[in-house]
Amino acid sequence: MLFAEDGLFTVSQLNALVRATLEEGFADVAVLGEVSNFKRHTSGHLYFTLKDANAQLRAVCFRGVAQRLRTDIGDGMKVVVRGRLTVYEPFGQYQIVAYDVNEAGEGELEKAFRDLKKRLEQEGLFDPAHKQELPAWPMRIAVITSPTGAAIRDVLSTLQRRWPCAEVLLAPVHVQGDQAVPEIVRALDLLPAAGGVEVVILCRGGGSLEDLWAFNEEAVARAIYRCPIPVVSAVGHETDVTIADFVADVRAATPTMAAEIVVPRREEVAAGVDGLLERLARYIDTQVRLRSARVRELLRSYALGRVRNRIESAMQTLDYLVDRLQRSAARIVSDRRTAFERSLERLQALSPREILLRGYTICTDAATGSVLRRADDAVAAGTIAVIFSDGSVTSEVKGKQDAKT
Amino acid sequence: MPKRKKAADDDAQSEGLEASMEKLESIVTDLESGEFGLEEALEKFEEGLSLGKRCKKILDRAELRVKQLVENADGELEEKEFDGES
Repeated sequence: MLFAEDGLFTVSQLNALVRATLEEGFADVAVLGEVSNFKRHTSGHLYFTLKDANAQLRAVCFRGVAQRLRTDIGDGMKVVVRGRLTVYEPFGQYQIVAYDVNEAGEGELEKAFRDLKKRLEQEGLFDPAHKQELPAWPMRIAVITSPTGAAIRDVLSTLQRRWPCAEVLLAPVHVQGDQAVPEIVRALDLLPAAGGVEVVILCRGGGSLEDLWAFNEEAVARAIYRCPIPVVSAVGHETDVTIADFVADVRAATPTMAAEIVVPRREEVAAGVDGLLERLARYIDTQVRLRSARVRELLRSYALGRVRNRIESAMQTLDYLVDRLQRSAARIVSDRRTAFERSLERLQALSPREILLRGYTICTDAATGSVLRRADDAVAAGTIAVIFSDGSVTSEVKGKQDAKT
Repeated sequence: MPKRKKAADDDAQSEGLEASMEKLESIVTDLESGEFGLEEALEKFEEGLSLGKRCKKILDRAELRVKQLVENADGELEEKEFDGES
Protein backbone atom coordinates (compact mmCIF):
# COMPACT_ATOMS: atom_id res chain seq x y z
CA MET A 1 0.00 0.00 0.00
CA LEU A 2 1.18 3.46 -0.91
CA PHE A 3 1.09 6.31 1.52
CA ALA A 4 1.58 9.98 1.29
CA GLU A 5 3.77 11.61 3.95
CA ASP A 6 0.89 12.31 6.26
CA GLY A 7 -0.86 9.13 5.33
CA LEU A 8 -3.25 10.79 2.88
CA PHE A 9 -3.01 11.67 -0.82
CA THR A 10 -4.50 14.74 -2.23
CA VAL A 11 -6.58 13.97 -5.34
CA SER A 12 -3.98 15.68 -7.45
CA GLN A 13 -1.21 13.61 -5.98
CA LEU A 14 -3.08 10.42 -6.52
CA ASN A 15 -4.02 11.21 -10.10
CA ALA A 16 -0.44 12.18 -10.86
CA LEU A 17 0.82 8.95 -9.37
CA VAL A 18 -1.69 6.85 -11.30
CA ARG A 19 -0.83 8.71 -14.43
CA ALA A 20 2.91 8.07 -14.03
CA THR A 21 2.26 4.41 -13.36
CA LEU A 22 -0.01 4.04 -16.39
CA GLU A 23 2.33 5.90 -18.71
CA GLU A 24 5.23 3.76 -17.66
CA GLY A 25 3.36 0.50 -17.92
CA PHE A 26 1.41 1.19 -21.15
CA ALA A 27 3.69 3.30 -23.30
CA ASP A 28 2.81 1.51 -26.51
CA VAL A 29 -0.34 -0.56 -26.81
CA ALA A 30 -2.68 -1.46 -29.65
CA VAL A 31 -6.35 -1.82 -28.96
CA LEU A 32 -9.23 -2.94 -31.14
CA GLY A 33 -12.60 -1.32 -30.77
CA GLU A 34 -15.51 0.47 -32.32
CA VAL A 35 -15.57 4.24 -32.57
CA SER A 36 -18.41 6.20 -30.96
CA ASN A 37 -18.95 9.80 -29.87
CA PHE A 38 -16.47 10.84 -32.52
CA LYS A 39 -15.73 14.54 -32.40
CA ARG A 40 -13.29 16.63 -34.42
CA HIS A 41 -12.47 19.69 -32.33
CA THR A 42 -11.81 23.02 -34.04
CA SER A 43 -8.25 22.74 -32.76
CA GLY A 44 -7.78 19.73 -35.06
CA HIS A 45 -7.63 17.19 -32.24
CA LEU A 46 -9.91 14.15 -32.47
CA TYR A 47 -11.85 12.84 -29.48
CA PHE A 48 -13.78 9.60 -29.45
CA THR A 49 -14.71 6.62 -27.37
CA LEU A 50 -13.54 3.11 -28.17
CA LYS A 51 -15.91 0.42 -27.12
CA ASP A 52 -16.77 -3.23 -27.39
CA ALA A 53 -19.84 -5.05 -26.07
CA ASN A 54 -18.95 -4.53 -22.43
CA ALA A 55 -16.52 -1.66 -22.00
CA GLN A 56 -15.39 1.77 -23.10
CA LEU A 57 -12.16 3.68 -23.32
CA ARG A 58 -11.66 7.38 -24.01
CA ALA A 59 -9.34 8.11 -26.90
CA VAL A 60 -7.71 11.26 -28.12
CA CYS A 61 -5.76 11.85 -31.27
CA PHE A 62 -3.87 15.12 -31.33
CA ARG A 63 -3.71 17.27 -34.43
CA GLY A 64 -0.20 16.35 -35.52
CA VAL A 65 -1.09 12.67 -35.63
CA ALA A 66 -4.62 13.31 -36.93
CA GLN A 67 -3.22 15.01 -40.02
CA ARG A 68 -1.10 12.00 -40.89
CA LEU A 69 -3.82 9.38 -40.50
CA ARG A 70 -4.40 7.26 -43.59
CA THR A 71 -7.94 6.37 -42.51
CA ASP A 72 -10.90 8.68 -42.15
CA ILE A 73 -12.40 7.58 -38.88
CA GLY A 74 -16.00 7.99 -37.88
CA ASP A 75 -18.66 6.59 -35.60
CA GLY A 76 -19.31 2.87 -35.95
CA MET A 77 -15.99 2.09 -37.55
CA LYS A 78 -13.90 -0.76 -36.21
CA VAL A 79 -10.40 0.50 -35.69
CA VAL A 80 -7.07 -0.42 -34.20
CA VAL A 81 -5.63 2.39 -32.13
CA ARG A 82 -1.95 2.33 -31.31
CA GLY A 83 -0.96 4.67 -28.53
CA ARG A 84 0.01 5.24 -24.94
CA LEU A 85 -2.23 5.29 -21.91
CA THR A 86 -2.41 8.34 -19.74
CA VAL A 87 -4.69 10.03 -17.23
CA TYR A 88 -6.44 13.29 -17.85
CA GLU A 89 -5.97 14.50 -14.31
CA PRO A 90 -8.69 17.19 -14.10
CA PHE A 91 -11.34 14.50 -14.68
CA GLY A 92 -9.47 11.57 -13.20
CA GLN A 93 -10.19 9.79 -16.41
CA TYR A 94 -7.77 7.49 -18.08
CA GLN A 95 -7.49 7.54 -21.86
CA ILE A 96 -5.42 6.41 -24.78
CA VAL A 97 -3.42 9.00 -26.74
CA ALA A 98 -3.17 7.68 -30.27
CA TYR A 99 0.01 7.42 -32.34
CA ASP A 100 -1.89 5.87 -35.21
CA VAL A 101 -5.41 4.77 -36.06
CA ASN A 102 -6.16 2.22 -38.77
CA GLU A 103 -9.31 0.59 -39.95
CA ALA A 104 -9.40 -2.91 -38.50
CA GLY A 105 -8.88 -5.60 -41.08
CA GLU A 106 -6.81 -3.64 -43.60
CA GLY A 107 -3.99 -3.97 -41.14
CA GLU A 108 -1.56 -6.56 -42.32
CA LEU A 109 -0.59 -5.26 -45.76
CA GLU A 110 -0.53 -1.72 -44.43
CA LYS A 111 1.77 -2.76 -41.65
CA ALA A 112 4.05 -4.70 -43.98
CA PHE A 113 4.19 -1.66 -46.24
CA ARG A 114 5.07 0.69 -43.41
CA ASP A 115 7.65 -1.64 -41.91
CA LEU A 116 9.38 -2.28 -45.24
CA LYS A 117 9.31 1.38 -46.14
CA LYS A 118 10.88 2.30 -42.83
CA ARG A 119 13.55 -0.37 -43.11
CA LEU A 120 14.52 0.44 -46.69
CA GLU A 121 14.53 4.13 -45.94
CA GLN A 122 16.90 3.62 -43.04
CA GLU A 123 19.08 1.49 -45.26
CA GLY A 124 19.32 4.37 -47.73
CA LEU A 125 17.42 2.89 -50.68
CA PHE A 126 15.42 6.11 -51.10
CA ASP A 127 18.48 8.31 -50.82
CA PRO A 128 18.23 11.22 -53.29
CA ALA A 129 22.00 11.01 -53.78
CA HIS A 130 21.58 7.56 -55.34
CA LYS A 131 18.98 8.74 -57.84
CA GLN A 132 20.14 8.72 -61.44
CA GLU A 133 19.48 11.50 -63.87
CA LEU A 134 17.26 10.76 -66.83
CA PRO A 135 18.74 11.06 -70.33
CA ALA A 136 17.55 14.13 -72.23
CA TRP A 137 16.71 12.40 -75.49
CA PRO A 138 16.52 8.65 -75.03
CA MET A 139 16.58 6.71 -78.29
CA ARG A 140 16.04 3.32 -76.71
CA ILE A 141 13.46 3.02 -73.95
CA ALA A 142 12.60 -0.16 -72.09
CA VAL A 143 9.13 -0.69 -70.63
CA ILE A 144 8.56 -3.36 -68.01
CA THR A 145 4.86 -4.12 -67.82
CA SER A 146 2.13 -6.45 -68.97
CA PRO A 147 1.99 -6.70 -72.78
CA THR A 148 -1.80 -6.71 -72.67
CA GLY A 149 -2.65 -4.06 -70.11
CA ALA A 150 -3.85 -0.48 -70.48
CA ALA A 151 -0.49 0.76 -69.21
CA ILE A 152 1.52 -0.36 -72.26
CA ARG A 153 -1.06 1.16 -74.61
CA ASP A 154 -0.93 4.49 -72.78
CA VAL A 155 2.87 4.50 -72.80
CA LEU A 156 3.17 3.57 -76.48
CA SER A 157 0.60 6.09 -77.68
CA THR A 158 2.26 8.86 -75.68
CA LEU A 159 5.70 7.97 -77.02
CA GLN A 160 4.35 7.80 -80.57
CA ARG A 161 2.79 11.23 -80.17
CA ARG A 162 5.81 12.98 -78.62
CA TRP A 163 8.93 11.12 -79.68
CA PRO A 164 8.34 8.60 -82.46
CA CYS A 165 12.01 8.51 -83.43
CA ALA A 166 12.77 6.27 -80.44
CA GLU A 167 12.85 2.52 -80.16
CA VAL A 168 10.88 0.79 -77.43
CA LEU A 169 11.90 -2.50 -75.92
CA LEU A 170 9.07 -4.14 -74.03
CA ALA A 171 9.99 -6.57 -71.28
CA PRO A 172 6.71 -8.45 -70.80
CA VAL A 173 5.92 -9.46 -67.21
CA HIS A 174 2.97 -10.36 -65.06
CA VAL A 175 2.15 -7.35 -62.90
CA GLN A 176 0.20 -9.30 -60.31
CA GLY A 177 0.05 -12.85 -59.04
CA ASP A 178 2.83 -15.23 -58.02
CA GLN A 179 4.99 -14.75 -61.10
CA ALA A 180 4.97 -10.96 -60.91
CA VAL A 181 7.81 -10.40 -58.46
CA PRO A 182 10.36 -12.83 -59.94
CA GLU A 183 9.57 -11.67 -63.49
CA ILE A 184 9.89 -7.99 -62.67
CA VAL A 185 13.15 -8.60 -60.81
CA ARG A 186 14.54 -10.63 -63.69
CA ALA A 187 13.56 -8.00 -66.25
CA LEU A 188 15.29 -5.28 -64.22
CA ASP A 189 18.41 -7.43 -63.93
CA LEU A 190 18.48 -8.45 -67.60
CA LEU A 191 17.79 -5.12 -69.27
CA PRO A 192 21.32 -3.76 -68.93
CA ALA A 193 22.46 -6.74 -71.01
CA ALA A 194 19.99 -5.92 -73.78
CA GLY A 195 22.35 -3.11 -74.73
CA GLY A 196 21.78 0.56 -75.34
CA VAL A 197 18.74 0.91 -73.11
CA GLU A 198 18.89 4.43 -71.72
CA VAL A 199 15.88 4.53 -69.43
CA VAL A 200 13.38 2.05 -67.99
CA ILE A 201 9.68 2.64 -67.37
CA LEU A 202 8.25 0.23 -64.80
CA CYS A 203 4.48 0.53 -64.80
CA ARG A 204 1.04 -0.96 -64.38
CA GLY A 205 -2.49 0.41 -64.36
CA GLY A 206 -4.69 0.95 -61.33
CA GLY A 207 -5.94 -1.71 -58.97
CA SER A 208 -6.53 -2.56 -55.34
CA LEU A 209 -3.77 -2.55 -52.78
CA GLU A 210 -3.53 -6.33 -53.24
CA ASP A 211 -3.29 -5.95 -57.04
CA LEU A 212 -0.42 -3.51 -56.74
CA TRP A 213 1.35 -5.58 -54.14
CA ALA A 214 4.22 -6.81 -56.31
CA PHE A 215 5.45 -3.22 -56.40
CA ASN A 216 5.64 -3.21 -52.60
CA GLU A 217 7.90 -6.23 -52.41
CA GLU A 218 11.42 -5.93 -51.13
CA ALA A 219 12.90 -7.96 -54.00
CA VAL A 220 11.49 -5.52 -56.54
CA ALA A 221 12.72 -2.54 -54.50
CA ARG A 222 16.25 -3.95 -54.41
CA ALA A 223 16.24 -4.77 -58.12
CA ILE A 224 15.26 -1.18 -58.91
CA TYR A 225 17.97 0.08 -56.60
CA ARG A 226 20.73 -1.94 -58.23
CA CYS A 227 19.57 -1.31 -61.82
CA PRO A 228 22.34 0.74 -63.49
CA ILE A 229 19.81 2.28 -65.89
CA PRO A 230 17.54 5.06 -64.57
CA VAL A 231 14.11 3.71 -63.62
CA VAL A 232 10.87 5.68 -63.78
CA SER A 233 8.00 4.07 -61.86
CA ALA A 234 4.32 4.58 -62.55
CA VAL A 235 2.06 2.28 -60.63
CA GLY A 236 -1.71 2.64 -60.43
CA HIS A 237 -3.40 6.01 -60.20
CA GLU A 238 -2.18 9.33 -58.79
CA THR A 239 -3.10 8.39 -55.23
CA ASP A 240 -1.35 5.03 -55.18
CA VAL A 241 2.14 5.17 -53.79
CA THR A 242 4.24 2.02 -53.69
CA ILE A 243 7.67 1.12 -52.35
CA ALA A 244 8.81 0.92 -55.98
CA ASP A 245 7.94 4.62 -56.32
CA PHE A 246 10.21 5.52 -53.43
CA VAL A 247 13.19 3.59 -54.79
CA ALA A 248 12.76 4.57 -58.43
CA ASP A 249 14.88 7.40 -59.77
CA VAL A 250 11.72 9.27 -60.72
CA ARG A 251 8.11 8.60 -59.73
CA ALA A 252 5.37 9.36 -62.22
CA ALA A 253 1.71 9.47 -61.19
CA THR A 254 0.49 7.42 -64.17
CA PRO A 255 1.99 5.42 -67.07
CA THR A 256 1.08 8.26 -69.48
CA MET A 257 2.90 10.75 -67.30
CA ALA A 258 5.91 8.46 -67.10
CA ALA A 259 6.16 8.53 -70.89
CA GLU A 260 5.83 12.30 -70.87
CA ILE A 261 8.59 12.67 -68.30
CA VAL A 262 10.94 10.34 -70.16
CA VAL A 263 10.86 11.92 -73.63
CA PRO A 264 10.91 15.47 -74.99
CA ARG A 265 8.69 16.70 -77.79
CA ARG A 266 10.25 15.95 -81.14
CA GLU A 267 9.27 19.40 -82.46
CA GLU A 268 11.24 21.12 -79.72
CA VAL A 269 14.41 19.19 -80.41
CA ALA A 270 14.00 19.63 -84.18
CA ALA A 271 13.66 23.38 -83.63
CA GLY A 272 16.97 23.27 -81.74
CA VAL A 273 18.69 21.56 -84.67
CA ASP A 274 17.19 24.09 -87.09
CA GLY A 275 18.43 26.92 -84.92
CA LEU A 276 21.99 25.57 -85.06
CA LEU A 277 21.85 25.06 -88.82
CA GLU A 278 20.54 28.60 -89.16
CA ARG A 279 23.56 29.90 -87.27
CA LEU A 280 25.83 27.81 -89.43
CA ALA A 281 24.24 29.29 -92.56
CA ARG A 282 24.57 32.79 -91.17
CA TYR A 283 28.22 32.18 -90.40
CA ILE A 284 29.06 31.04 -93.91
CA ASP A 285 27.07 33.92 -95.35
CA THR A 286 29.15 36.36 -93.31
CA GLN A 287 32.31 34.66 -94.53
CA VAL A 288 31.21 35.00 -98.13
CA ARG A 289 30.45 38.68 -97.62
CA LEU A 290 33.81 39.35 -95.98
CA ARG A 291 35.79 37.49 -98.59
CA SER A 292 33.81 39.04 -101.43
CA ALA A 293 34.55 42.49 -100.10
CA ARG A 294 38.22 41.56 -99.96
CA VAL A 295 38.18 40.38 -103.58
CA ARG A 296 36.37 43.50 -104.71
CA GLU A 297 39.05 45.56 -103.05
CA LEU A 298 41.77 43.51 -104.70
CA LEU A 299 40.09 43.83 -108.07
CA ARG A 300 40.29 47.59 -107.76
CA SER A 301 44.01 47.32 -107.00
CA TYR A 302 44.37 44.84 -109.85
CA ALA A 303 42.85 47.45 -112.10
CA LEU A 304 45.76 49.62 -111.07
CA GLY A 305 48.11 46.81 -112.04
CA ARG A 306 49.72 46.49 -108.69
CA VAL A 307 48.71 43.11 -107.31
CA ARG A 308 48.65 40.41 -109.95
CA ASN A 309 49.65 37.51 -107.77
CA ARG A 310 47.35 38.40 -104.97
CA ILE A 311 44.32 38.74 -107.21
CA GLU A 312 45.04 35.41 -108.75
CA SER A 313 45.15 33.74 -105.39
CA ALA A 314 42.03 35.59 -104.25
CA MET A 315 40.19 34.40 -107.34
CA GLN A 316 41.28 30.88 -106.63
CA THR A 317 40.04 31.22 -103.08
CA LEU A 318 36.66 32.29 -104.35
CA ASP A 319 36.49 29.41 -106.81
CA TYR A 320 37.40 27.06 -104.04
CA LEU A 321 34.71 28.49 -101.78
CA VAL A 322 32.18 28.15 -104.57
CA ASP A 323 33.12 24.55 -105.23
CA ARG A 324 32.98 23.57 -101.60
CA LEU A 325 29.69 25.32 -101.01
CA GLN A 326 28.23 23.69 -104.08
CA ARG A 327 29.20 20.29 -102.81
CA SER A 328 27.84 21.09 -99.34
CA ALA A 329 24.64 22.48 -100.73
CA ALA A 330 24.00 19.25 -102.53
CA ARG A 331 24.19 17.41 -99.23
CA ILE A 332 22.32 19.81 -97.06
CA VAL A 333 18.89 19.27 -95.60
CA SER A 334 16.53 20.71 -98.14
CA ASP A 335 14.72 23.27 -96.02
CA ARG A 336 18.00 24.90 -95.00
CA ARG A 337 19.09 25.25 -98.58
CA THR A 338 18.02 28.77 -99.48
CA ALA A 339 20.53 30.55 -97.28
CA PHE A 340 23.39 28.70 -98.95
CA GLU A 341 22.03 29.28 -102.39
CA ARG A 342 21.93 32.97 -101.66
CA SER A 343 25.57 32.87 -100.63
CA LEU A 344 26.50 30.90 -103.70
CA GLU A 345 24.78 33.29 -106.05
CA ARG A 346 26.44 36.22 -104.41
CA LEU A 347 29.83 34.57 -104.80
CA GLN A 348 29.33 33.52 -108.35
CA ALA A 349 28.13 36.90 -109.46
CA LEU A 350 31.31 38.32 -108.08
CA SER A 351 33.76 35.89 -109.53
CA PRO A 352 35.84 37.45 -112.33
CA ARG A 353 35.63 34.14 -114.10
CA GLU A 354 31.84 34.51 -114.26
CA ILE A 355 32.24 37.96 -115.67
CA LEU A 356 34.53 36.62 -118.39
CA LEU A 357 32.12 33.79 -119.09
CA ARG A 358 29.38 36.32 -119.73
CA GLY A 359 31.42 37.69 -122.69
CA TYR A 360 33.46 40.42 -121.10
CA THR A 361 37.23 40.51 -121.52
CA ILE A 362 40.04 42.25 -119.73
CA CYS A 363 42.77 44.01 -121.72
CA THR A 364 46.25 44.47 -120.43
CA ASP A 365 49.41 46.03 -121.76
CA ALA A 366 51.24 43.04 -123.23
CA ALA A 367 54.56 44.39 -122.05
CA THR A 368 53.76 45.58 -118.52
CA GLY A 369 50.64 43.59 -117.61
CA SER A 370 48.77 46.73 -116.49
CA VAL A 371 45.05 46.62 -116.99
CA LEU A 372 43.95 49.00 -119.74
CA ARG A 373 41.00 51.12 -118.86
CA ARG A 374 41.01 53.62 -121.69
CA ALA A 375 41.22 53.29 -125.48
CA ASP A 376 44.07 55.78 -125.49
CA ASP A 377 46.08 53.53 -123.14
CA ALA A 378 45.64 50.66 -125.62
CA VAL A 379 46.89 52.82 -128.50
CA ALA A 380 49.86 53.83 -126.39
CA ALA A 381 50.63 50.22 -125.52
CA GLY A 382 50.53 49.06 -129.14
CA THR A 383 50.56 45.36 -128.31
CA ILE A 384 47.89 44.24 -125.86
CA ALA A 385 46.81 41.00 -124.17
CA VAL A 386 43.05 40.26 -124.23
CA ILE A 387 42.04 37.90 -121.42
CA PHE A 388 39.11 35.54 -121.99
CA SER A 389 37.76 33.01 -119.54
CA ASP A 390 39.75 30.19 -121.10
CA GLY A 391 42.98 32.03 -122.00
CA SER A 392 44.28 35.17 -123.59
CA VAL A 393 45.30 36.40 -127.05
CA THR A 394 47.90 38.93 -128.02
CA SER A 395 46.73 41.65 -130.42
CA GLU A 396 48.11 44.62 -132.26
CA VAL A 397 46.18 47.88 -131.95
CA LYS A 398 45.31 49.11 -135.45
CA GLY A 399 43.18 52.11 -134.78
CA LYS A 400 40.89 53.89 -132.39
CA GLN A 401 37.26 55.14 -132.53
CA ASP A 402 35.98 57.72 -130.11
CA ALA A 403 32.92 56.84 -128.09
CA LYS A 404 29.77 58.37 -129.58
CA THR A 405 28.78 60.62 -126.73
CA MET B 1 27.47 2.18 -72.44
CA PRO B 2 27.53 -1.14 -74.24
CA LYS B 3 27.33 -0.97 -78.02
CA ARG B 4 23.84 -1.62 -79.18
CA LYS B 5 23.45 -4.80 -81.12
CA LYS B 6 22.04 -3.47 -84.33
CA ALA B 7 24.14 -0.36 -84.69
CA ALA B 8 24.91 -1.19 -88.29
CA ASP B 9 21.34 -1.32 -89.55
CA ASP B 10 21.01 2.41 -89.64
CA ASP B 11 23.82 4.82 -90.27
CA ALA B 12 22.11 7.60 -88.42
CA GLN B 13 21.98 5.51 -85.29
CA SER B 14 25.69 4.83 -85.10
CA GLU B 15 26.20 8.16 -83.42
CA GLY B 16 23.46 9.21 -81.05
CA LEU B 17 21.30 12.24 -81.42
CA GLU B 18 22.58 13.80 -78.26
CA ALA B 19 26.25 13.43 -79.18
CA SER B 20 25.61 14.79 -82.67
CA MET B 21 23.73 17.79 -81.33
CA GLU B 22 26.44 18.56 -78.81
CA LYS B 23 29.10 18.38 -81.49
CA LEU B 24 27.08 20.56 -83.83
CA GLU B 25 26.57 23.09 -81.11
CA SER B 26 30.25 23.26 -80.28
CA ILE B 27 31.15 23.63 -83.97
CA VAL B 28 28.74 26.52 -84.38
CA THR B 29 29.95 28.22 -81.21
CA ASP B 30 33.55 27.65 -82.29
CA LEU B 31 33.01 29.15 -85.70
CA GLU B 32 31.16 32.13 -84.32
CA SER B 33 33.76 32.96 -81.74
CA GLY B 34 37.01 32.09 -83.47
CA GLU B 35 39.14 33.15 -86.37
CA PHE B 36 39.72 30.27 -88.73
CA GLY B 37 41.51 29.89 -92.01
CA LEU B 38 39.31 29.18 -94.98
CA GLU B 39 40.20 25.52 -95.14
CA GLU B 40 39.53 24.89 -91.47
CA ALA B 41 36.35 26.95 -91.44
CA LEU B 42 34.95 25.06 -94.40
CA GLU B 43 35.83 21.75 -92.87
CA LYS B 44 34.02 22.65 -89.67
CA PHE B 45 31.13 24.02 -91.65
CA GLU B 46 30.76 20.82 -93.63
CA GLU B 47 31.02 18.68 -90.54
CA GLY B 48 28.34 20.82 -88.93
CA LEU B 49 26.10 20.35 -91.93
CA SER B 50 26.38 16.62 -91.93
CA LEU B 51 25.81 16.48 -88.16
CA GLY B 52 22.70 18.61 -88.56
CA LYS B 53 21.52 16.39 -91.34
CA ARG B 54 22.08 13.31 -89.21
CA CYS B 55 20.06 14.81 -86.35
CA LYS B 56 17.22 15.66 -88.70
CA LYS B 57 17.28 12.19 -90.16
CA ILE B 58 16.95 10.65 -86.71
CA LEU B 59 14.18 13.04 -85.70
CA ASP B 60 12.29 12.50 -88.93
CA ARG B 61 11.53 8.88 -88.14
CA ALA B 62 7.78 9.00 -87.78
CA GLU B 63 6.97 5.51 -86.62
CA LEU B 64 7.79 4.31 -83.11
CA ARG B 65 9.61 0.99 -83.35
CA VAL B 66 8.44 -1.46 -80.71
CA LYS B 67 10.20 -4.69 -79.91
CA GLN B 68 9.60 -7.30 -77.32
CA LEU B 69 12.33 -8.85 -75.25
CA VAL B 70 12.26 -12.64 -75.32
CA GLU B 71 14.47 -15.04 -73.49
CA ASN B 72 15.19 -18.12 -75.57
CA ALA B 73 15.76 -21.65 -74.32
CA ASP B 74 19.49 -20.98 -73.78
CA GLY B 75 18.71 -17.99 -71.60
CA GLU B 76 19.85 -15.60 -74.31
CA LEU B 77 18.00 -12.39 -74.97
CA GLU B 78 16.29 -11.88 -78.30
CA GLU B 79 14.26 -9.02 -79.63
CA LYS B 80 11.12 -9.71 -81.58
CA GLU B 81 8.58 -7.45 -83.20
CA PHE B 82 5.85 -6.53 -80.76
CA ASP B 83 2.33 -6.96 -81.99
CA GLY B 84 0.55 -4.28 -80.00
CA GLU B 85 -2.92 -5.36 -81.09
CA SER B 86 -2.79 -8.70 -79.31
